[in-house]
Amino acid sequence: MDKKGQFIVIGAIVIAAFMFALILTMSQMNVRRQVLVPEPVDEVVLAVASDFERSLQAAFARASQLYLESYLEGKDVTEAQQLLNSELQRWLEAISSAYSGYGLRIALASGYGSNFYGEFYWSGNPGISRVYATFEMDVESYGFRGLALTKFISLRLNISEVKVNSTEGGATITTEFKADENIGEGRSLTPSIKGVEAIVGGTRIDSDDIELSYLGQGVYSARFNVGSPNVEEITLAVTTEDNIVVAAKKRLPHEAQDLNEWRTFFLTPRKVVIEGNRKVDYFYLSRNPTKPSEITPQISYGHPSRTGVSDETLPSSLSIGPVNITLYARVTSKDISLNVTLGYETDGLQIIGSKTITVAKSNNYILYTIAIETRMTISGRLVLILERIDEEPGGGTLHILTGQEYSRIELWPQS
Amino acid sequence: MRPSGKGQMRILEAVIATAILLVAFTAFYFMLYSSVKFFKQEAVDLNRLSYNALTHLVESGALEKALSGDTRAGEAMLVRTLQNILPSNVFFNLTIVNVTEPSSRGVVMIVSDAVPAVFEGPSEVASAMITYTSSRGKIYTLVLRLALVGAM
Repeated sequence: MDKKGQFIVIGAIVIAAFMFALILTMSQMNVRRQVLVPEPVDEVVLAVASDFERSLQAAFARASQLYLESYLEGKDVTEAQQLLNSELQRWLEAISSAYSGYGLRIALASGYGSNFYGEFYWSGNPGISRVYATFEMDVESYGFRGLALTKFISLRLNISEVKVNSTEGGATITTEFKADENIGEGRSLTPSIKGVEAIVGGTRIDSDDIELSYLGQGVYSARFNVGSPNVEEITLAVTTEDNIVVAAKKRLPHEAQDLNEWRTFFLTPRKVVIEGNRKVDYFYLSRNPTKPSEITPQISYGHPSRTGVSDETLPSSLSIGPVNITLYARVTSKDISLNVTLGYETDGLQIIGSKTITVAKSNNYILYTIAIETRMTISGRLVLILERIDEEPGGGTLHILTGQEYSRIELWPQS
Repeated sequence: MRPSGKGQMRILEAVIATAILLVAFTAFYFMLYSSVKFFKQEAVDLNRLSYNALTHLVESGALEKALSGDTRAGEAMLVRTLQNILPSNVFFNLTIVNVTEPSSRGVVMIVSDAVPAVFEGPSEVASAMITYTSSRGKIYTLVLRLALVGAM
């Protein structure tokens, strides 16, 4: 009997058995791997991050609207800040509750200093509305920890031109302005504008009474009528499509000699000079802000204080009321106690006021607002002294952000 | 000339061997790509689809419109939007709950294009939940359940 043919069949059975064993093993591995079904980590994290942005934007929009109402009616503007805080706190609680099954923990980023601030600077031109917040998030069920979410919204309004044409029984004001949204690294976007309001001589002019036209390149023109041609200053408040309000106040040219021109001074960098073997940054105070930049005055045992003096002499009788000193500052090595003293120099230094703050170690600039209540008349040169008062050695390079939107001194008139 | 019996046997054996290998390959194929795998993959895809559908509702502004206007009209709009973006064999149930304050917690809308039994039967079902803060500052949770009818 010829058995060659049987070998073919036996060979096929052996090959099939071998493949069966091999494939069965792979199949089992596959089935076991099926247990590791992907969890929607990306989706959950993106959903929370996306809602964080919406929440901050909505809270900031509501706060800016409340600030506008308070600003126009002369009410306490701190309510807007409180609203911003409470809205974000409410969102945190709602999110923590909604995702409690995931073991989600979300909170304002811990560490040094504030990781959240909102600011409305509307008393100058350009005017600024901005908010910044950083949150940390863990999702325990996915073993996901330490995600930091940061959102920054900064809107600026610049009134470039104001023309007042007298008419019978009043005047027509035509003004050009540009709003932009800072998206970081020197880039900006032009936001869509929903409406514009104007405040002239204490009178509020509604959006419906303003003729708005777009001139291109982000510049708008607003035209409206007022009851009197004697216009000293105008305030424009722009509401974006996201319902965020930003306003700016421009004083008109014929008021150039007005004392109000002397009410805002900006910290301004002075050229770097050699002090011994070290390079040291100095600053001075100027009414004309420069582009945003950083000064880093070393402030330590050998150099416990730094002084900036205004580059111009104040008018002879500038009466001032409350003073606000706004500092965007940080230190990189450890927290320091800083005494901030404002004064003026005529025959020697006269002190306007002094307060101590703790500048926190941080990688980001933190906003410090120092309010000094006073009523006095000043002259000579304005002087700002930053003095380190803690006695612990080491560390202490103070970083201050300067420029037209940042560190500044506001001298409000007496009410 | 009489055909050789040896040659016929060879052909028969070759046919049997080929049949064995063919059956083996067919069996192995189904073992490798078993229905279990299809089943699991469908669940994962359906889950992603539910998140994508929710993201679409939020980013397109449909949800903001639905929540800020008339409730009936809003519900109808959400049904239309979801039907447009989901495959025809996928049914949905979207529940929107206001969670702004613990005291105001409550269901705002339930929109669905299927009877509840669809989500309890043998169909493949997936769900996704996200939170949504409206421009008015209200906070909602959105729970979207999808059912794939005719899953393997």
